[in-house]
Amino acid sequence: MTRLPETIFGCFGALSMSLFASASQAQTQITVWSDTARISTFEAYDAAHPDIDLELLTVDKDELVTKLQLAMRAKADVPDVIFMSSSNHPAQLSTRRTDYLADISDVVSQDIFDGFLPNANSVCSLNGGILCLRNDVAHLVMWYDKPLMDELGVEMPETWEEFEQLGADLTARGEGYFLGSGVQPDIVIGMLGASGCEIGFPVDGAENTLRIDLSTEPCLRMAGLIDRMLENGSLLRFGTSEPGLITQASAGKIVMSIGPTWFGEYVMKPNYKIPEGHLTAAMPLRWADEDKPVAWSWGGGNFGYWKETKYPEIASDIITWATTQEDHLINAVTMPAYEQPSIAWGERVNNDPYYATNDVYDTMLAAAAYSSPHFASLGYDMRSAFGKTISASLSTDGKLVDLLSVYEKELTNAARLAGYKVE
Amino acid sequence: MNKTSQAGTIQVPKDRMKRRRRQQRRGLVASYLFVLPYLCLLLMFGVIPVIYAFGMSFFDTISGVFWGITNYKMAFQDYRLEEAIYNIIGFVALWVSVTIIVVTGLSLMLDILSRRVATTIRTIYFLPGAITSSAIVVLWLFLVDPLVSPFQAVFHMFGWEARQHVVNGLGMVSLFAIMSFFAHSGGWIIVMGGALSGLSREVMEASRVDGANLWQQAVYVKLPMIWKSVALMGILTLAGGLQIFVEPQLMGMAGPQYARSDWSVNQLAFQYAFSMGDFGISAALSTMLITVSVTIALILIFATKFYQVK
Amino acid sequence: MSKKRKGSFSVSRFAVYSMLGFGLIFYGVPLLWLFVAGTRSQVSLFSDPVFTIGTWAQAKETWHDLTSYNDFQILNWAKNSVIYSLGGVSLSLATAIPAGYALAVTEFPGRKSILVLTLIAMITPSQAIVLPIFLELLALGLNNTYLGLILATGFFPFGIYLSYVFFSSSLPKGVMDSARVDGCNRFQLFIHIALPLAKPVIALVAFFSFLANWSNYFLAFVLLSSEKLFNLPLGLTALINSSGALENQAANDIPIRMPEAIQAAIVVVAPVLVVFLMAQRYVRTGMLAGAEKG
Repeated sequence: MTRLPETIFGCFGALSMSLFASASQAQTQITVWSDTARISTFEAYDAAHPDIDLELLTVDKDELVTKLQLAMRAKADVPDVIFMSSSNHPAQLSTRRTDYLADISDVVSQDIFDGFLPNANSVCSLNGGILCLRNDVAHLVMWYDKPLMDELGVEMPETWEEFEQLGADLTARGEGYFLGSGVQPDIVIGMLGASGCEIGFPVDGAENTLRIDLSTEPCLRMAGLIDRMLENGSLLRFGTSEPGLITQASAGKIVMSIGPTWFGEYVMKPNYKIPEGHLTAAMPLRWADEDKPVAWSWGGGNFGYWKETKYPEIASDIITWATTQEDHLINAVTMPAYEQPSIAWGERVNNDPYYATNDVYDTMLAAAAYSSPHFASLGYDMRSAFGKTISASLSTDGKLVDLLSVYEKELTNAARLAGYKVE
Repeated sequence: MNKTSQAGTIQVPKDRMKRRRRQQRRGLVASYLFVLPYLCLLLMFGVIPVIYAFGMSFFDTISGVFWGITNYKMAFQDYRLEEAIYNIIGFVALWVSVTIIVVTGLSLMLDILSRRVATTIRTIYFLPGAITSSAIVVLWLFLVDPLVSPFQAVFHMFGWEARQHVVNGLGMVSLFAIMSFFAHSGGWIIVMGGALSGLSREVMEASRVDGANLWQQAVYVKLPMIWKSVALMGILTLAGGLQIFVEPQLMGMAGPQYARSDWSVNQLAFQYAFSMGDFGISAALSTMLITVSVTIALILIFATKFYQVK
Repeated sequence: MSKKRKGSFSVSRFAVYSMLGFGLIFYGVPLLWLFVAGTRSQVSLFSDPVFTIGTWAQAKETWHDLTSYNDFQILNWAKNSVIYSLGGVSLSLATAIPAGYALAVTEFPGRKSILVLTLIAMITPSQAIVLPIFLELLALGLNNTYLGLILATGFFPFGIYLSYVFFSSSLPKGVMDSARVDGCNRFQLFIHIALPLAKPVIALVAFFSFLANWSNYFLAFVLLSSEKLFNLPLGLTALINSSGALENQAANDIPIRMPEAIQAAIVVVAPVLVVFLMAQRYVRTGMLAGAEKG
C-alpha cells in the first residue's frame, strides 16, 4: 500500500519488515485468490498476522485460469497468492504464454518439502522446478460397507484378481450387489494409472515430455478386468454421481467403491445414504504378481504464488503456513498433505462414529505411502479427453479394450497441442 | 424518406426549395443528435473491440511481435478444428430451421387465441429463457436423466434407461439444438407476438370478411406482414448458432464424461485465449467466425432489403 | 358446403390446440419441476418420484442455507443486480429509442453503415471482444466499477433493431406528416408524437435489456473482480461451482447442494417473471392503441 514497507522490506528482509510495519501501523497488502472452501485458511492467516492485510477474492475452479489471463494481460490486479483447486492448474499456469507461478524449490526449505506425505507434491513438480505446495492429498483407496460384507460372508480383496473374483461371486447371486462405477473417468483413469498404464507420465529429465502408450500390457490387463466386471454387472455403467448409481447405492446394494480420501465423507455418506457404522476404508489394490499397490489420485488442491510479486517472502510464508500450520488444518475439510497436521486431522476421522472402524485415517495414511509419482499436473485435461472418446460407448455397451487406441490418439493430440513432446 | 424522394420530381419554387434545404440540414443535425449517444457506445463496445481483435490476430500476443498469418496457420493446424466445423454446420442447420418453423408456427397459432390466454401461454413459453448459467445445468442434468426426468416416459419409449443413453440417442447436435431452442425460442415468440399485434385490425377484419379461413389468413395475410421480424430472427439465430458456446461449455459442469470443451469453433477460440493464454490464435479463430457470420448475414440482409425504409 | 367447412375448421382448431399444448409441455413441465424440486432434499431429488413435493421445513432450510451463506452475501448480490439492471436498462433505452427512431424515419448519410455495424456488433461473439473491452475500460479506470459494467451493457444493439423495426413498420405515416405540417420540429415530433406511440417498443426493449442485464454473466465475470460488486448470476455461479453442487461430489462443507442450486435458479427467474408481466401489459395495450390509431 504505502511505499514505506517496500523500502524497509528491501533493506532488512521479512522479519524486520514486520516489526517495523507493525510499529508504524502500516500493513502490507497481499492480494489472494481462493476458492470458497479455503477462505477460512486465508482468514486465519490474516488474523494471525496483524502486519499483513490479505485482500481476498473467491475465484472458482473453472474461472481461475481465465481470470488470471485477463489480470496478467492487463498487468493489473494480479493476485500475489492463489489457491489452485485443479491438479492441472500448476501446468497451465507455468507455460510460456501464462507464466505465473514462481519456482519455490530454492525458496522453501528442504525440511518443509520433506514433511509432506510421499509424492504429495508430484503435481507441483514440473520440469525440474517446484511450483506449488499441495494442500490436500486425494489418493484412491477402497471404501467398503463392513457389516454388509460380513453379512454376505465375503472378505475385503487385496488384489485386483480377488476384486474381480468377488464381483463375479456377488453378481452370481443375482441380488444386485455391485462394487462401484466402472465408467467414472476419474476412477477408470485411476485404475489404469495404478496398473502402470502410461496415460501421460512425465519423462524424468526431459522438459515437457510425456509418455503416452495405451497399448501396453498394464493397460490391457486393467482394461480387460474393467470390461469383464462391466459385463457381469459388478461395476456399473453409471458415473459415481449419476442417479442410476445413486438409486442402487441408496438401496444398500453398493458393497465397495474405489474412491479418493474425500469420497466417504462427501459422496458415499451424503449421496448413497450409507448408515452410520457401515462405511470404512481399506488399502488400494495391487496385482497379485506385484508386491505393493499403487494409488492414483482424484483431486487435491495446491497453493502457489506469482513470480513477479513484490513480496515473495510473505507469499512463500503464506503458502507454507497454509499447508503446514496445524491449528487450522486440524479443521480442514480434506486430508492435509503435510504429514504432521495430517495426523492431527486424522484423529477426528479415526474417532468419527460414522465409520464402522476407528482406523479409517490410519488406512488413508498408510495408503499415502503408495501414491503414484506419475500423478502429474498436465496442460490438457485427461478426463475430458476420456469423456470425448470413451464415455459414450463405455456407458452403453462398449469395451474399454477397444477404446484405448482412440483415447491414446486423443491424448497424444491434446498433449502435442498443449506443447508437449510425446514419446 | 418519402418527402425527399418526391422533391426531385415535383417542380417547386426557388425559395421553397431553399427553405426545404435548410429544413433538411436541420433535419440532418437532428438525426445525428438522435443517434449520437448510441454511436458512442457502438464505437466503444462494438467497432473498436472488433478492430482490436482483428489486429490481435496478426500478432504474437506474448511478445507483441507482428507475425502475419501465423496465428491463422496455427489455428488451421489444430486437429479439433475440422470436427468443430462439422459440428457447427449440423447444429446451425437443425437449430435455425427448427426455430424459424416452430417459432413462426406457434406465434401464428397463438394469434388466434384470446388475448388473455395467449399472454399466459406466451409467458410460460418464454420463462425457460430466463434460467441461465449454472441453474440451467442443474435443470438439464435432471431433464435428460431417465431416472429422474419429468420426461422419463418419453425416454422409456425409446428404451433409454440412463443419462448417457439419452445423450447418445439424441446426439450432441440435437441435444444442443433442443437446449438452445428451449432457452431462446420463447423470447422470439414474444417478439413475434409484438409484431403480430401491431398489425392493423382493419386488414384482419377485411380478410375475414373476404372469407379467408384461419390458415389462409395466417399464411397469406399475417406472414407477409411480419416477414421483417422473421428475417431478423433467422439472421440472428443463424449468427448465434455459428457461435454456439454456452450449451457445450456448460455440459462440462455435469462431470468430465459430458465435457465437450472443444465442440465448437467458438469454444476453441475461448480455450486458446483463456486457458492457454494465446489471444492471437483465439483472435484469428474469432475473426474467421465473425467473417463467416457477417458475410452470411449481409447476404441475407441485402437479399431481403432489410434495411429499407418503407 | 358450409357444414363441411365448419368440420375442417374444428379439425384445424384441434391441431392448433394440440400443438400449443405440446409447446406447453415442452416449456412448462421443466419449469413446474424446477419449482417443485426447490422444496425437496438432496436425497429426495434422486430417489423419490419425479414430481414429489417436498416439505415446507425442507424448503425453508434450503432457503436458509442459500441466503444466510457468508453473511447474507446473496442480498448484496441481489442489490448489485438491481443497480446494474436499472442502469443498463435506462442507458439502453436512452440510446436505442431515439436512434431507432432516427434510423427508421429519416434518411441521412451513414445511416446504412450504422445499421450494418449494429448488425455486426449483434452477431459478434462476446468471447472475441471481451478482452478489448476489458482493456478499454481498464484504461479509462472503469473496470471493477458499477459504471463500467453499466456502460458496457447499455450498448444493446438488439434494442436498436427492435426499435428500428417498430418505428419503420408501426409508426402511422399520416400522423407524422400532419404533425410536421403543423410546424413541429424533429424533437417535438419525437417527444410528442413518436414517444407516446412507442410505448410497446419501449416496454419490449426495456424488457429484453432487463433480461440481458439481469442474467449477464460473461461480461460481468470479466469486468468485475471484487465480490462486493458481483451480480446474482456471477455470485451464484461462483458459489455453486466452488461448492461442487453440480458434479455432486464436492469435498467441502459448503451447504450449497442441488436443492440450493435449484432455489437459486428460482430466485433468478422470479424477478424476470414479474418484470415480464409488467412489460407485457404495456406491450399489449400500447400495440393495440397504436394499431387502432393507425
